[in-house]
Amino acid sequence: MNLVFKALSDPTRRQILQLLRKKPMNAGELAEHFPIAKSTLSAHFAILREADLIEASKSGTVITYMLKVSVLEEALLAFAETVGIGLPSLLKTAPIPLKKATGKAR
Amino acid sequence: MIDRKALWISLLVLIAMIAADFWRLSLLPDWHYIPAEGPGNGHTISVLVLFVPVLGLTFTMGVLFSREWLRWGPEEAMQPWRRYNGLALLFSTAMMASAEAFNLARSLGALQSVSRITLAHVIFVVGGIFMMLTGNMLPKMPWLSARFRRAQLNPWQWNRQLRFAGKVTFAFGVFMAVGLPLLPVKMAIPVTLGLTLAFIAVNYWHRAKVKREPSPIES
Repeated sequence: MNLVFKALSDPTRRQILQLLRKKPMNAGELAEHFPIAKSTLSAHFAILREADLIEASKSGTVITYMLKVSVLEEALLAFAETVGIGLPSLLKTAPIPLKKATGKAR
Repeated sequence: MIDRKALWISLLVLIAMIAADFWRLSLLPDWHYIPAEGPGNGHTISVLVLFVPVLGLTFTMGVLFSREWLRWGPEEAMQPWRRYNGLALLFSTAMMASAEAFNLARSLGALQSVSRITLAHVIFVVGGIFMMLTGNMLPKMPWLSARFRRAQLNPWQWNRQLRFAGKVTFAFGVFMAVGLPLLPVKMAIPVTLGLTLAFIAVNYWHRAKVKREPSPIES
């Protein structure tokens, strides 16, 4: 159960689950919805799989993810979304000024 | 896809239940009625009441057997289904055997201090909790292929159908555990039967809806 709470505590992972409620998606399709690195997204998938909230099926090189949540887990997901558990703290406090872009590559 | 151990236990219990019914019948002067509250009491009920738990268990077994016949899949998908159905069968067996033991004991004059209403409420609450548990786990069950094309659902349709059926089963369980004990016992049977029919109808309606809608996965 701890794994489920950990998985649902993150807004990105909850958003992944919300997207998967509509249809099964592969990693590429899911990545289009998030402005984060693919490696970070893969880590999120791993946590969701570990919590048994999604299942992955591999066809060739494409991994398709499908939702696999119990009734209570779905209710917990809806609750976490409503309450906004784990929202980034910068959304709750004053906005942090962004650094000026230097134009240099990292 | 029923756990074999659970199946054998249930079959043995069923045979024991039938044997106990016939043994009780053999003690009766009139095979049409049995004493409801013990031999000395004038209150009698139809002898068919004795066979209701046997029929209930036979019906449950029939449903599980038809499921086994209708669906199949790889071994790793069948295993969780065997456990799930085995658990459902063992639970039904325990409930039906308890009901039968209670009926027999009452007709022989024992357990007079236990009220039928109290027993009915216990059955509603325990049954409701069990339905909530099984409904909760239903969406996690793996995809299986159907023997007939009409019943075939692709993994996505199956996933949607089980998520829906899980929620409906869970809601039914909540009503059974919380709502039914509040109703008069006489109303509980027609309400439960009506809701069971509605439960079956709504699941079939959803299955048809899911099959009609365009699917992101090819069938």
